[in-house]
Amino acid sequence: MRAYIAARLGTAVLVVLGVSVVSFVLTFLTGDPAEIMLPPGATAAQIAKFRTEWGFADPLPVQYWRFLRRAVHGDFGVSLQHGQSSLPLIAARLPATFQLTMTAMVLAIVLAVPLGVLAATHRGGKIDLLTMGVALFGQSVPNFWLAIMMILLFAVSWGWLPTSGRGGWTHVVMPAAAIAINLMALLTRLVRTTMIEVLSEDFVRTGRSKGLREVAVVLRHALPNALIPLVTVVGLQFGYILGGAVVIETIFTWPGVGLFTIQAIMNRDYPVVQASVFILATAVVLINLAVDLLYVWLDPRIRVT
Amino acid sequence: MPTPPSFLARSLRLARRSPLASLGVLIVGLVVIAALAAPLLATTDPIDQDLAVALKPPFWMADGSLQHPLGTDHLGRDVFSRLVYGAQISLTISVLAALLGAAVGVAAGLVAGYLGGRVGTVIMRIVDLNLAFPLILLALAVVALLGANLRNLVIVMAITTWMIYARVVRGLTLTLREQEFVQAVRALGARDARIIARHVLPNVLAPVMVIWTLEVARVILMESALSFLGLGVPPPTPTWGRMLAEGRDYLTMAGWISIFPGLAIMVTVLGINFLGDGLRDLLDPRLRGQT
Amino acid sequence: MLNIRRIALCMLGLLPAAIALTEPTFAAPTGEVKIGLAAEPNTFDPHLTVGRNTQIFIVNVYDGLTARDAQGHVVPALAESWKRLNPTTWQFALRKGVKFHNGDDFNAECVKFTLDRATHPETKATIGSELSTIAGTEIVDPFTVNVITKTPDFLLPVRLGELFGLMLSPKHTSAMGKEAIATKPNGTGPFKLVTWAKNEQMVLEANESYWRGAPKVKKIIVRPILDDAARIAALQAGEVDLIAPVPHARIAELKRNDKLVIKTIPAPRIFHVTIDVRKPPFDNVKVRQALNYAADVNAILKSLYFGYGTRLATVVDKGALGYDPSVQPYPFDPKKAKALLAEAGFPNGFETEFDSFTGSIADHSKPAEAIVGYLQKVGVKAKQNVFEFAAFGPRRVQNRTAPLFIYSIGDAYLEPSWVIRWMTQGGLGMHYKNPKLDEMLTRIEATDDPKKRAPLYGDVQKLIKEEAPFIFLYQADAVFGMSSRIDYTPRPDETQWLYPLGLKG
Repeated sequence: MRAYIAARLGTAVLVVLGVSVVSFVLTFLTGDPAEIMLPPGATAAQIAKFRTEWGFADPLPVQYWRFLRRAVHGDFGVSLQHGQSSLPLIAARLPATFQLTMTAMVLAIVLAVPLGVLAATHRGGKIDLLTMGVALFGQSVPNFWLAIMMILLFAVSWGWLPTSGRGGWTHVVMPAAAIAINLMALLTRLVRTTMIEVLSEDFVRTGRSKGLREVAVVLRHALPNALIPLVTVVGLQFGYILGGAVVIETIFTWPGVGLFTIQAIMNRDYPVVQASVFILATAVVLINLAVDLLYVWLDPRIRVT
Repeated sequence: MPTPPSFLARSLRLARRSPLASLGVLIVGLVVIAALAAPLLATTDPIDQDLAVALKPPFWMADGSLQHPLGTDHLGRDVFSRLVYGAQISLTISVLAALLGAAVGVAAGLVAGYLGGRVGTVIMRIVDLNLAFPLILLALAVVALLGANLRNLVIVMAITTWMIYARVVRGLTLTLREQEFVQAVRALGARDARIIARHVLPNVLAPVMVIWTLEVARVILMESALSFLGLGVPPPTPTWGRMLAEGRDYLTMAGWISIFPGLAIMVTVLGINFLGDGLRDLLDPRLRGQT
Repeated sequence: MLNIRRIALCMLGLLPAAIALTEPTFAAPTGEVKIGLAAEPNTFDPHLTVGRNTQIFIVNVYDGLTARDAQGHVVPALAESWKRLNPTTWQFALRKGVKFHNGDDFNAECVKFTLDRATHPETKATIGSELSTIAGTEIVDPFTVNVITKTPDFLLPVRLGELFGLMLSPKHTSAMGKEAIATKPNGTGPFKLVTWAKNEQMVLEANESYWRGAPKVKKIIVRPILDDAARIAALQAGEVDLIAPVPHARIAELKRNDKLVIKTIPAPRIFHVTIDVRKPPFDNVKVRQALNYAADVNAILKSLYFGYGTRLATVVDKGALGYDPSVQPYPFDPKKAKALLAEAGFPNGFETEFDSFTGSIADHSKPAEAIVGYLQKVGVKAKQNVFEFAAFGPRRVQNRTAPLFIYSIGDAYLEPSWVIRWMTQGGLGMHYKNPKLDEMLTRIEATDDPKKRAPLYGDVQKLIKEEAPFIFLYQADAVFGMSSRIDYTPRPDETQWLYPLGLKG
């Protein structure tokens, strides 16, 4: 067990290091930000001078080492757009993204579990077909498209919900729903599949033959076992959820890390892009690590593959 | 001993049992035909613009005409023709990207699973690394920085899809490697490459095909998301994602520009998902938990 | 000399405006207005602004030495008058009794400090290139400064206006440090920045002791709503009272809404396609003219801008000094285009490349697509390269742009000489040079009196049209959407100056 944990931690560290290299290299695949920052009336000579002053003319390995050294101290450089240190800027936006992604995940799970159980227990029937249809639809719809349609209907036409921005539950429900839809569909199918498998296993049949009510069998005995793979999948999907948040945050102007990063990418704000990609990827690594360790704790039958 | 039912027999039986899968085949079939026969089906050149007929509605609305059955966009281009050619482009990118990703991923998985050891570990760490990045951010950053053209898009999408093959194939290869017949052949002195090609690869093809169909769907969605953010295939090539994005400004006055490509994406992805599920049920029900 | 008379004329013309402007001091500012913008400023440090979006907004918090009135004429602001002592020295007489938001006095020291800071290499000012003509600043007395330029600069008063001459307080700026004034500015302007939660909202409050008189509105809340559709939806739902910009495609629909008012004004943003005159076949003037005949610019204005734009015959915008309406734009004549191409030796056209980009202050990729379509029809087959604005930048800097690329330049100076000099700089992809043109411009720049300069521009425009070093396009209207309770008139110089903002009823 300990060996597994140690190995897993070691892996995580290696991956994070790899993340740092990729974050760094990613932003140096192109020219320089000088053109962006200077007013359009600037001449070519002035732009070249600007480049050298800001240190973009040094060789790449030198720049990477500088980047890594500073990153360890939490210094990801000063944002070219905002003139302030990048890390605090991103950290300030993490809560917003966290709020959105957590709500989306909870929403997805809360909808998927009952739907999946319903489908599994009515397997082959009309309800099963209906829920599977809904799930397949959810998996196929482009979520940004759904977001636009929702805004048109719920905010502009009916005026029930606000069109954009961050706030209370009325602000969060549409963006979270847009992000959740793909995941919900996936989870519904997963719950259905695992429930069907679990329901056909020995211990369930034993429970039934012992005379336990069907509901009890389903909810107290089958469901908890079905939820274990759910945990893994949700954790593994975190990367996808973050990706979904990025686009949705843009549509709703939700002031999270996703929106901030997209703007930074479009504006060639290197320090922010480096910091953001690094932090987001590291977050995903940490969550995957947590999920793996949780999985081991939940199901001691699993060992290193 | 009775012979096992043929592939065809099993397919027909499944088709009857699973109307959804049959529907999937139908839909995908139609889309593929549309894509292949685009030059025949399209009524005009998809990039031919005529500003005088800009923003004309579909034929069933007032001011519409059968000359432009699904209306025209802001530059007077025929939506139907663009839709049909868009099938060609969107499918090409997605299929190519999914193929490239599959090729790389399967190769990586085979090597990692069969050789194991350090090589295997390194490969799986790279998989972990790639999986750590929110894929759309990665795609965005690369496309924004390197420029959006067909080649870059295919490569970037492939980068977002190869990992799942690597993981699944590695797992299957590990199991297969330990099986008796493989051990036997090795003991007889057969070369690794031959073993992989003749004994391992055929057995992983089935799950790979299932994954591949579902990944094509995912790549189509990702391409449309990239186009939506302005970083997809450059003009004047019509892709569904691009048409969707272009029509956004005109949503309330000329919704057809966005609605039809949006529907096309949804229906195609739906069909592929139906098909993929049916394929999985047919080939290897064991995969239910993995995909 | 001439200058005093000019200034007196200016001030006479301003009298009615001044009377109107002084009225609000009797009424205290009231009410709250919510605004939705496409982008928020990146900083409130006037020397570190990135992009036009920032410059056009921070003018609400600061003042420059000069300003523009609602018609676009240059008027006094923090400087009451100015005159040229000699070709390289301008003298500014400063307004007395002006205070910064924190109570600091405005005086000559502020001007020297601000200009020194802007031109100091350590500041790494992004606007440094616009003030590069400044050699130094001398304090003559507490309310008089001399600004010395390296070469004669007739545009200096305009430069030191709302564009690049926003004044800082030495005490405050030195005390706070560079990072702080990005978010906690201290200016003399009509509004104070009270709070700023980035990407969420910005709160401005009226400066009740503003030297022009307090603004009418007490509180302004600004929200960045990046997505066009979301911004419009916010206006329709009543979440914001004023938005900018509004995509031209939505104007008709929004005008049908009784609760909303849409106002447009020609923006001094000149759209054009730069032709690389060094690369054959573009070195042949007939080819360049053919390109101009090939594009139906009026159709583009109609279908992409819904008529909310002005066709330009050359690269001089309608509001600029010396705009000559007698110079007619090239008509749409594809037959003539083909004929010219044949004369130049290309009866079957030729292949080339066309760069365009997305992002940035306005949409360039749609008009680019339309233009390429027209060129295609006369046989010029152009491969389109579309870039993100930030990726396009390096291409221009390194002069690696395609032979044809679309661009737009905001003529913030409303002075053709500035635009044309910029467009003939020999870099950033623009390589057209003409000694005769240079000569004409130099003569114009030596003429101080704008009234005398204006007519001289006529010949310049005729020459440029003939030479056709660009495909001449248009200037698009700037579009503002507001609720009917808002009283606001957009400005002709692209700035989003909220001082005149008022509430009706």
